[in-house]
Amino acid sequence: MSDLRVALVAEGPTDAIVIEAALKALLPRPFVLTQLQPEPTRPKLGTGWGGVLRWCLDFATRGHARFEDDPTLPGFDLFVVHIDADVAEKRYADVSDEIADLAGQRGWPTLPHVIQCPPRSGSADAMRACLLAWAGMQEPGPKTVLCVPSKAVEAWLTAATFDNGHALQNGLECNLNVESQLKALPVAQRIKKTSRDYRARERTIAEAWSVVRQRCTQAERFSTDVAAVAV
Amino acid sequence: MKLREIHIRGFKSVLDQSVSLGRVNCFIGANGVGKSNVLEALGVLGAAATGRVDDEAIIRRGVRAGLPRLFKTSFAGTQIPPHITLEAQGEPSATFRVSLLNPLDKPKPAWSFKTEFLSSGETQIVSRGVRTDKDNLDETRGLSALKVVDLQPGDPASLLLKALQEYVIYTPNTPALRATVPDPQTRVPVGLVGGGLAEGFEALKRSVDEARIDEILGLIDWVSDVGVTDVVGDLLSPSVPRTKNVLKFTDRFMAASRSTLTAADASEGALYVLFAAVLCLSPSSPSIFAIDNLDSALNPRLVTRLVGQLAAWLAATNPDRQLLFTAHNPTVLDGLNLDDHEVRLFAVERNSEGHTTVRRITLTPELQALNKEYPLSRLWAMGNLGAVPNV
Repeated sequence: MSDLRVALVAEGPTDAIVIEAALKALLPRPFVLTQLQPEPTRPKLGTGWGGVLRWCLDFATRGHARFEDDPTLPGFDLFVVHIDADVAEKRYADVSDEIADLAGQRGWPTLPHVIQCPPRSGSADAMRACLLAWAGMQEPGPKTVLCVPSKAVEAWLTAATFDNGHALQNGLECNLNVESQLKALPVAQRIKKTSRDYRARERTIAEAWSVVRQRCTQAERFSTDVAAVAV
Repeated sequence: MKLREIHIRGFKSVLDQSVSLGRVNCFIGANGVGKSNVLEALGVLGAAATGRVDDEAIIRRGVRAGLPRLFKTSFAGTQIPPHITLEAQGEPSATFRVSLLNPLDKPKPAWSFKTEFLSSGETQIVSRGVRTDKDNLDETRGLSALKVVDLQPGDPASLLLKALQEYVIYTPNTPALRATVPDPQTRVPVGLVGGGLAEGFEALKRSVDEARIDEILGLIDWVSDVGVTDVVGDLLSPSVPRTKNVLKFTDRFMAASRSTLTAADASEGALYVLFAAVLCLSPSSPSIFAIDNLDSALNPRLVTRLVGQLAAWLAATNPDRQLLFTAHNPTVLDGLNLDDHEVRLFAVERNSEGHTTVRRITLTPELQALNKEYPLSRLWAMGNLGAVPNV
């Protein structure tokens, strides 16, 4: 049986590493993961949440109802589109003035859209609505999973790496500062936001994924959604 | 004889893959995914077809020499067979398959043939297995290379072995193409890194018609003519090392009295174009060969035009000639006529276990329609075809 082909639209390379580790735990057989990015234009090269937005916008421009129907995306068994829930705190103008104008013209959900946390799903649900609106979709297609960690994918990294008594585990999915707090930990525990540091923990994340699911509601939702895609 | 299928098992990063070949075979993928390993696997099989697999035999084919611990697949958590298995199937029907063994500790100079199989159609010619009485056999000697002398010259098994024996991997580099450094592996029509290009091009000019030369030179827009000379006079600084013959380019923009220059001063792109043309078109080229990084030093539009010529050039002198090549420039894809089933594009990738996978990219009817207005190069650069690094 051939390997699965997974398309991933993610904010950045470290996010992709965590999501790939999760998929290793979730998918039934080996897979080839391809990161999709918008074509790089200056001054924004197409990464960050603005890159995800632009990729979705490019897709919407091609006029297809679902990723699965787009002939420019041939042969993928699974589409994963990632954005962190903390983007709900950002402004469209942070990407560009043009995007801010477009948001108004196209009636995208308003940003910032600050929602009290808990409930932990609040911002994540808001960002799911944003992803769908940016891509011009009513709902995800049958092979599409929206991946929205709360508040950021670092919550999943933390849940996999540290035991239950660790201070960072408190209110993990409502913590807007996990990334900077990971960087400020004592040297033995410190995790910098670099591909090298994240890759070093890839196996840990995959092996501890059942724990991550227990600790993070959005990891559980992502897992359930991936399982629902018949691959 | 065309090589139609290769099967690689346990070689470097390739755990278990089959590749169905056409006339033009383009392998794309991120750096480090194992594209060259696929080319090299065929080189090792070519050495086996000559009856001996050792460093000398594989280096002669352009394969990087390596210890068994580097040649055998090694993946954490995966059970790895102790040997490398390589197979080639030809058309008309013929099969050559070997399993090669060399201990990781205290490796021997030559690999042992653990199993060996050669068939022509339904006829089995060599079948050496683990249970074969080996008392009288030198395990480092392949039997097929010996048996093939008993076959008719046109026998499919004989043709398959001959094609494999000829197979080499070319990795052109600029100093060798300029003839300022010697080529460590000289060949006719050109050496493995591009040495002897002047002689190769001169021989080509004698063997093809003027229209073909015009076609080649049409790809080098600053040139009005290319010739070969052994008299460089004031064309070349005495401090530049040179071979007996050198390529002489005539620049169409320069004043007639000072319009010539040698390969030492010509654009790299011109040399790479001539190199590819000589290999594809020369009667003396191997019937199957590989070029690693065909697109080196070429402008994006030039590489599209060059790749667009390959299928016709290969078929022009030898209808069975085949080329495997790797490339990184997206515009290579725009030169591939994927409507021709003999022109094939392969995405080489690493899966989640790190294993090299080779996937043929075919145009779906929808993509085919889209491709009329939408270049494949763009889709590849965006990642939509896969075969990109996740950076």
